[in-house]
Amino acid sequence: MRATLACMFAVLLSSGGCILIPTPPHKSDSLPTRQNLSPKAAAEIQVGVTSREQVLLRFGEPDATFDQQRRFAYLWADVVAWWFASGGYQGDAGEIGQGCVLEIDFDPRGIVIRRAVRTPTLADLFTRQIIGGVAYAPPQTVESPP
Amino acid sequence: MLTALLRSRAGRAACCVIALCAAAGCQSAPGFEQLTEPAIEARWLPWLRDAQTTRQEIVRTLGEPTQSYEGDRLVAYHLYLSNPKQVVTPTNFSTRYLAGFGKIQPDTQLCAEPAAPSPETELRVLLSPATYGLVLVYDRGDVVRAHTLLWRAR
Repeated sequence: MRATLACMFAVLLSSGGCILIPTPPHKSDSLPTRQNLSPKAAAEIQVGVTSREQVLLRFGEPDATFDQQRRFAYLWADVVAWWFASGGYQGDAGEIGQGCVLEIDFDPRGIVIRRAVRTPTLADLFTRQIIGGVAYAPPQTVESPP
Repeated sequence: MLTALLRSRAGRAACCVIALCAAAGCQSAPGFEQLTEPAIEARWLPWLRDAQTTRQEIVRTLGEPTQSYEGDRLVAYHLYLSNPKQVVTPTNFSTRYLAGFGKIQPDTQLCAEPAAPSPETELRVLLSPATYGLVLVYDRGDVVRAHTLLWRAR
């Protein structure tokens, strides 16, 4: 199996082509981004419990605020795939990053009433690269009951 | 023990690998370690202590905060590193950027970015090897109750 994959890889590279290898989302050393944000970290925010103060102390200052600081937005980027391309005797490789957004809404007392993580899927990223459209996966939203 | 190691081929190879790793570490590690949040706090913010430092002391040292929340109970500062002796102008900015920040010198300062930065400050922020966000929580007596320093970008 390994030999087959290696052969396929060698043939693709030698014949001129592009390979996309998805990876688990991780932080890049070359892309400047927040190091303390991930969907897992965002899940620590408890709707109806976590306060604005706790959010600020845990994640730092937001990248944007809306509606008189009732909504915070944090932005970060994860590497989700590596690409390798070759043509003739030349080749190149790089990382494909995905931009992620964490939205947090607060009530007038400063308690979280909604949090949502928005991440584009790999297919969306591919579509965006090829077609130029921007498509995001439905946000993983957690809201407090009415 | 070292002599015994060097007698075998595997031992010599292991020593070479260790030496190469150590050499690589010597070149890259100190720069990164100097930029971590604990290192920045230890060097430039040792005076900042929860339950002790007052708002007055903060403002005297860092100036007015970049951002405030919930009145002024929660405040945030954007911090950056700068060498004040280095003259930064739009003319020499590109050269300075390409040259890199260089080593952290004894006179390197951790500066607070004002809410309305001057053009020169904006250039200095861009030249900083890392920028930080300092969040402070004040109690009712205007004493720092809790704080956190986090990387904004590096």
